[in-house]
Amino acid sequence: MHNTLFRFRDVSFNYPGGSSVLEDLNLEIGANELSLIRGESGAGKSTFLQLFNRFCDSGNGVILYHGRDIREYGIEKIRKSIIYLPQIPHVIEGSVEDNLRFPFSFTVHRDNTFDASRAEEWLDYFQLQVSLRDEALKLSVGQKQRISLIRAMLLEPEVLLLDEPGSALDEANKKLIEQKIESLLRSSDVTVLMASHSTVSFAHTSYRDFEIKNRTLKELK
Amino acid sequence: MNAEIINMSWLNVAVTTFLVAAAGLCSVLLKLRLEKDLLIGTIRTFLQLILLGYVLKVVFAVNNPLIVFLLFSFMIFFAARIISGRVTEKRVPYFLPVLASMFLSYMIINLFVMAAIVQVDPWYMPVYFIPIGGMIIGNSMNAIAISMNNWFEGLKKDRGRIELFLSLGATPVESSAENFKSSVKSGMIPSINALMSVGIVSIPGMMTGQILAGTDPMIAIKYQIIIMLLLVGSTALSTVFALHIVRRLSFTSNHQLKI
Repeated sequence: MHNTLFRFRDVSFNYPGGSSVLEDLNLEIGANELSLIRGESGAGKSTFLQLFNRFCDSGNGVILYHGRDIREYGIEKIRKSIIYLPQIPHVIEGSVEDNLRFPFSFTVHRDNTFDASRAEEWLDYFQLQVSLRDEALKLSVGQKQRISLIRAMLLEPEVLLLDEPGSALDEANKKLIEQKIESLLRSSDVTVLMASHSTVSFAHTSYRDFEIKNRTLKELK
Repeated sequence: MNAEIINMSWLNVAVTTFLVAAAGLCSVLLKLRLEKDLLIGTIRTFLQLILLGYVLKVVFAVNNPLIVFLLFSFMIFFAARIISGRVTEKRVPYFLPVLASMFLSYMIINLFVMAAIVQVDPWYMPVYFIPIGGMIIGNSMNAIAISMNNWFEGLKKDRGRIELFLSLGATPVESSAENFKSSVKSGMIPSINALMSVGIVSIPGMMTGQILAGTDPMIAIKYQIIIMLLLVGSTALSTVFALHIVRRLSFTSNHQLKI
């Protein structure tokens, strides 16, 4: 068993004034684990992931992160180490480099500096045949998805929350992303939670398999 | 200048309604359907200005700081109502905070002008305080409405980028820095443009009034220059104040966009 990174105690979530989305979640996530969150669209997978970076705040219950209530950390601190990547990758106007560099201008990242050679290495790692000078808006969705991952990895996060990273991609691109995520887990200490409504098979890494159904989360094996 | 002010009789004023009747005739002939609005507008102009005349007569005569303060507050309250009618975004509850920021900035500027520039004694002398205050309010009311609309439209347009920034650890201020700048600018540009064109295209309203009332043009221009510069300052101050508050209200406490 890895060190426990997150512990959920009776966590539930409902939108203000709305019906309940998730109820009585009790689970632990260890460091450097890979967790797959499955469920129909609309089941609450995104909401579940967003509880980790506080895009959503649980109404009841407590989420412990490194043993401390996640609400005791500053929001920016949480977002610095726990990065959420939405289903549809977003790139800003400008070059690939602009897209990888901008987070370093935020106060929370001021101790880190952008390193172009590291960025080049990541482009290679994700098999992106683009240069740092290329215009980001002209890239394909698959390429933008990988740019988003590189942008996150350059910030050296502790946790990656991937919201259906394969949903907008073709089979080949989807496979590539999944493979790269697997090897990322082996080569670094990153912890990954990944939502998906279709099946994903990670061939080389053990992973935890969760399903969200009827507002509750079950571990499948 | 010793020109006597010509005090027109109410009959003279009534004769000018003939011009409105001409406009009404155009409306009928061209089927513009503006007759009703013209009629209501004309009646309202008469009633509102007659009422204003009496209110000012009383306020000037009583010369009491509390009454000046109340009238000034009343004017600001209505300006804030007009702004909230013009700003299309309704999900952010900005009315009271914006009212407060308008109140604060107009009070500061008006007091400064009264005490330091025009140097009236007492500082609240209504003959100066109310008309100059009214010009400040009227102009920066437009600026606030323009900049707030620009802000909310910008947030909607840039939602994807802003949410991306927030998800990577940016604070609300960092994630919307560009939007904030462009909104302040959009509110300030009309008053800066006015600085460029004043006196070339038309004689400004206040100067016209003073000249018609027999003031020497060289005195009238001094007042006008003060007013022009004052308006630039007050639009800048009040839009920055108001947008600061509106920016705060546009994000949730856990750094999410509200709209």
